[in-house]
Amino acid sequence: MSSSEDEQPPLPESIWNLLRRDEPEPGAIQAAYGRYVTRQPRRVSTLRIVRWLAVGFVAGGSVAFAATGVPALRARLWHPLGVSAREGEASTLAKVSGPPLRRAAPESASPPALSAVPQAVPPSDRARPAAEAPHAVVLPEPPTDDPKWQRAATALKTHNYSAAEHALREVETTGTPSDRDAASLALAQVLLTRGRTVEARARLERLVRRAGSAVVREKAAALLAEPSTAGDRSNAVGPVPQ
Amino acid sequence: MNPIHERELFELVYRRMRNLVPPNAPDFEDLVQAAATEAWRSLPRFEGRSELGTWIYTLCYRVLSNHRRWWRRYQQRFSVGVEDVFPSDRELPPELLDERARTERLRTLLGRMSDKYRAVVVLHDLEGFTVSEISGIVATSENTVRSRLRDGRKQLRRLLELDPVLVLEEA
Repeated sequence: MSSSEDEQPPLPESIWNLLRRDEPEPGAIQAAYGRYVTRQPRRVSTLRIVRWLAVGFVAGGSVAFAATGVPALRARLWHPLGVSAREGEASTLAKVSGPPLRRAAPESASPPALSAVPQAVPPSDRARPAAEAPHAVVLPEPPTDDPKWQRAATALKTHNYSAAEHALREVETTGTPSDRDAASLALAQVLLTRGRTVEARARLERLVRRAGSAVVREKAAALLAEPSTAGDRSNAVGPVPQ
Repeated sequence: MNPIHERELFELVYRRMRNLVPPNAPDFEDLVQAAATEAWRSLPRFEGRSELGTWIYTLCYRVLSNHRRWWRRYQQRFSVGVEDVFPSDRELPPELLDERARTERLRTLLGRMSDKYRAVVVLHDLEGFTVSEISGIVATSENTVRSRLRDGRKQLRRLLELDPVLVLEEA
């Protein structure tokens, strides 16, 4: 087979020289390159992605730890050695919400109104931060299977303050250090509710100085700062019956 | 192989695509960008078995034929009226046309050829590639290349005969 190039002779070189001499303008190439670079999706290295993922993971973990882990860690750190693991786990905050102490401690020594009675908050509300309920007393959650705590809770629910006081005193003397603090705080609130400010104040001052849990210390300090704890109404005479 | 900067590679692609497609073609820049992207992505796999220029031509031709194939399908589905652009200043005396204008007319004529024929003619007659090399670039047999070269030259000659300015140049 003869070469096809022979069958159809090439075009004159002058034609091709025309094209050879026709150099593209550098400006045109540069402009096209500029548009090319702009249109190109930015290439992100794998290392960069991994770094951002790591930063996100650390940041997310820190936030999650700050939101959930710090109270538990702090409680563990403050507990003395030998405290059972169950106590260490008492990180979930329980609330025994009560009315403001100003209302809780009426001028007279008369029994408090029903609305002033400390209430055991249902478990679903326990996780709510204390800031949502400004007058709530926040206590480390007591072990639910402890009969003394159960007695105290039952007594509070039925407004039987004597029984509640008795049960709390029992925990205060025989319980573990964290239970003692919690019981002291609850007892102080019960005493305040009943108008026995001096006793309550002594407990609160002790808790402010010595309580193992920062939450308990803060709450005790807050209760001390309440105006109703300023004066002693332990011996106040109740309203004279008409 | 020496490392090549992206800007250099882009220029190589630009110059080669300019030979395969007239730069006044509406999709010229799209083709250059697609080919440059492909070249930059494939560069690490370039083993140096052929010249870099040949490799870039292969890549440009592949991008061009894929793009044009897609465009033909698109036109079949949605009839887009693309007007044939032929030099309208044919009545101008040749002396008034400078080299630049003549080059543009030549490129326009080349643009009227089909891509397959134009590529083979340009690669052979302008760039000086052998039939064997061209068959590698356009991924077809040498006989097909020869056939396209013959028919392409015939097409181009016919087109040039229609343009008095370039006929003059040819003479």
